[in-house]
Amino acid sequence: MNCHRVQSLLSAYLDQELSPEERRLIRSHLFNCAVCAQCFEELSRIKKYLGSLEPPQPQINLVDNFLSFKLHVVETNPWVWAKRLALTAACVFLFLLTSVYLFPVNDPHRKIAGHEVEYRQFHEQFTPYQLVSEQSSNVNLFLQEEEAEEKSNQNKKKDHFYLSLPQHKTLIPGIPVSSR
Amino acid sequence: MLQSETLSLVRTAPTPDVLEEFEKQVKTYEKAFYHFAYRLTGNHDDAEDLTQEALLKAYRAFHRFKAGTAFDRWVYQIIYRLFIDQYRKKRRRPFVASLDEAPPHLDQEKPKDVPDHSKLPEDYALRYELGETIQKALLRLPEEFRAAVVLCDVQGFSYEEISNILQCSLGTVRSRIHRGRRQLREYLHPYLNGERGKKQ
Ligand SMILES: [Zn+2]
Repeated sequence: MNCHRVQSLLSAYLDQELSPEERRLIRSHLFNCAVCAQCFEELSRIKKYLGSLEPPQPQINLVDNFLSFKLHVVETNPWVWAKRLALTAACVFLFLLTSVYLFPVNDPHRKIAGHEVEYRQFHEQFTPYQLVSEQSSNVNLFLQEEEAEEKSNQNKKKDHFYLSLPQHKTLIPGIPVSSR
Repeated sequence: MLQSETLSLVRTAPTPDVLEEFEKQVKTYEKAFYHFAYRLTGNHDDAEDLTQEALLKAYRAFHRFKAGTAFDRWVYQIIYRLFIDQYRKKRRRPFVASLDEAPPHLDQEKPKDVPDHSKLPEDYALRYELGETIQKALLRLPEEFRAAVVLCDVQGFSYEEISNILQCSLGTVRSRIHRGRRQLREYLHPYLNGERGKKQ
């Protein structure tokens, strides 16, 4: 091994990252060559210096700082949005609720004629004409609903009839019974 | 409906035991991470930023971290990549094209590197001076060499571990460490030839 080759391997030799054979060759070269020995001495001193460097002290508490930052991030992401969503939904719900109470367009009381007196007591501001026309339309609606209900009942009965029929095992055409 | 939506949002947040595990791992290695970041950047502000950023990145990707593998090496890798991506852009000095040659202004700086501290307590002055000088010399190395040398000599990793962290071949690690140390040898010449630091 010449000096150039040895010097290119000195760092790896210093770090004990060479094969035993390479190590043996370099050791014997260093024993006989003052130049390479000097080079090795300097490199090992550099390694020693770097290894003895004082670990710097961070000016902030890294872990605590990181944790508070991270918690802040977590909080501002899904949670705040969930809260905002909930708040918005609650507002919309409240708005709808109050608007229904203040402007009762589809007041169920008006559907039935029997509630007429009660209705009149609470809604004096309506003219009799309005009331009558609304009531008549409501009565129509009521009748329509009754009709629809009756129809669906009939359908249900039909369904029930068909469903309650015993399930006959129908043969699949083309396939002999014995093979199944 | 509202409740289920809120719940699904909460589910995306990390579970407490993952958090706890992450904290535990970070507390074990935080000083070493910071030391690495400091040797790479050369100042506290950048080192703190770099460490914080790397930890945040690691935390976000912690679900991808395989239990049983080395947590510290994984974070060192994140620190190194962040450093290469971001901090090299902030470098004042342009990248030295010829890696084996010292920057041209080096010779003019040499006398400043060996100030006369004869009137100060010798040991402390030398230690402090040497620490400062070594850090300055480290900062003159190309980032890849600096990282390899620091991981080897400061952090004490093997070449294989370093190749793992820097995501390069063993041959590259060997060459980076060798060239890095050779450059340091030039920069620190006065300290190595007995002109200073003989007491070390
Ligand atoms: Zn030789």
